[in-house]
Amino acid sequence: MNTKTNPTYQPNDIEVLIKNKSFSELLPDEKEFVLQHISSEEEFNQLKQLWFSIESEEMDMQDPPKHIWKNLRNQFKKEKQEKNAFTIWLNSVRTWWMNLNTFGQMSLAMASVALILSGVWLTFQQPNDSVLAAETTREELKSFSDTAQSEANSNQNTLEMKERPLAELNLNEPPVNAIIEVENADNRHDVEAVQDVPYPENDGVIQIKSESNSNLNQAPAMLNVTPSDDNFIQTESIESKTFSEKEILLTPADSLKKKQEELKKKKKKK
Amino acid sequence: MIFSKSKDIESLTDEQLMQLIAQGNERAFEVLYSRYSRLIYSYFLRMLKKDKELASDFTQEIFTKVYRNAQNFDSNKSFKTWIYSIANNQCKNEYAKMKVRSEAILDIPISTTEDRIAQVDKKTFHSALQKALSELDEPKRTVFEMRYLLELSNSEIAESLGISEGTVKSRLFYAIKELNLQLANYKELLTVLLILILS
Repeated sequence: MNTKTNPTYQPNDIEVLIKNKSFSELLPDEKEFVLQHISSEEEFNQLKQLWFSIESEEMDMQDPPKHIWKNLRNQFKKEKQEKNAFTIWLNSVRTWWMNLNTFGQMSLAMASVALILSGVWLTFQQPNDSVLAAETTREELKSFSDTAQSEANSNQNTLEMKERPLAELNLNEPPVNAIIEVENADNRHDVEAVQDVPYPENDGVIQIKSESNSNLNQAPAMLNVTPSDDNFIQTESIESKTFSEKEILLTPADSLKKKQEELKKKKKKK
Repeated sequence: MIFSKSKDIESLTDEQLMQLIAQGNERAFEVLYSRYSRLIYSYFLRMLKKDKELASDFTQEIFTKVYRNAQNFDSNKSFKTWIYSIANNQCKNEYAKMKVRSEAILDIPISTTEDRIAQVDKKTFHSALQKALSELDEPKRTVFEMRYLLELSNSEIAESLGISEGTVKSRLFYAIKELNLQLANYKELLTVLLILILS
C-alpha cells in the first residue's frame, strides 16, 4: 500500500518555489503545480530574475515638504489649546464645588436639579397646553355649529337650496352680499360677487351652486366665502372638487361672538 | 507611565506613542511623524503618479487623522497596519474620484560610452519598471508597493487591506507575472540599445 502523500501547493506558495529552487530542482509534483501557473521553464527563470531585480531595486523615497510638519504642529497645538480650555473650565468648576461646605453643596445640587426639572416641565408643558386649548376650541366650535344647524332646520329658516341656483333664492330676509372666491388647481382665482344672498335670521346653512360650475369643479379647488358686510362668518371651509354640492354653514357674526365669549367664560371658571 | 526625556520617547513603540499623543504630547507626535512621514509621502507619490501637491495634502490629512483618532486607537492593534490601511483607503477614494491614472513617461537615456552601460541598464530597468507598474491594476499595485516600498510583510499587508495572506501572495505573484510580460519589451529594447552602444 502506498502511504506516500503528495504535498499540496497553494498558488500563493509559488513565490517560495521560484525564489528558492531552480526549475530542475523542482520535485515532480512541485513542477506540476508550477506549470499550472507558468507556461515554461523560460518563464520560470525570467520570473526568478525579475523577482530578484525588483528586490534589489532601490525604491524612490522622498522626504515630505517641510511645511506639512509646520501646519500639522500648529493645528495640533491649536486643537490641544481648545481642548485644554474646556478642561481648565471644568477643573475650575470642580475646585469651586469642592470648596463649598456640605450644606452649600447639597443646596446647590438641589437647586440645580429643581432648575433642570422645571426647565424640562416648562418645555413639555407649554406646547401641550396650547394643543389642548386648540383642540377644545375646535370641538366646542363644532358642537356649536351643529347646534346652530339643527336650530336653523327647526325654524324653517334653513336655506334649502338643493339643486337650486343662488339666483333663485327667495327669502324675505334682508339681502346680503357675498363674494365667492374659487382657487383652481392652476392658482387662478375666479371671483364671483353673489348678490341677493339672503341673510338668515338665525344660524343657517346655504348651499352655494354657481352658474359656472365648469370652473368650480376643477380639482383641487378651494372655496372661500367672504361676507361683504361682516354679517356672516364662515365657520367651515370647503375643499372639494365638487363643492357645489356641499353645504356651507354661515352664521351671523354677533351670535358667534356671543357664543365664543360664553365659552371663554366657561374656560376661566374651569 | 511618564516619559519626560526625549530619548525615552524615541525608544517607544508606535502604539505607546499613540497613547501619549492622545494625552496631547507634541513630542510623541513629532517622533511618530518622523518615523512614517517619509514612507507615507513616498507611497502617496508613487500611488498618485508623482502628484506632489496631492501627496502633500494626503500626508497632512493622514497625520491629522492620526492625532485626532489617537484617543480611540486600540493600542493592542498594530499602528503600522492601521496607518497604511488609511493611506490605502485615501488612494482608493482618489482613484474613484479621478478615475484617471496618468501615464508615466518612459525616458530612456541613450549613452554612447561603454562604461555607462551598467548605468543605462539600471536606469532603463527602473523606468521600464515604473511604466509597467503604472499599468498594473490597483489591487495588485497596492500589494506590490506595500511590499517593496513600505517593506511590509505579507501578514501586515493582509491586515492593512483586510484580505487574507493567501490573497496577498497570490496578487503579488500575478503582479510579478504581469510585470514580466510588460518588461519583455524592455529586454528587447535593452538588447538593441546594448548593440548600439557596443557598435
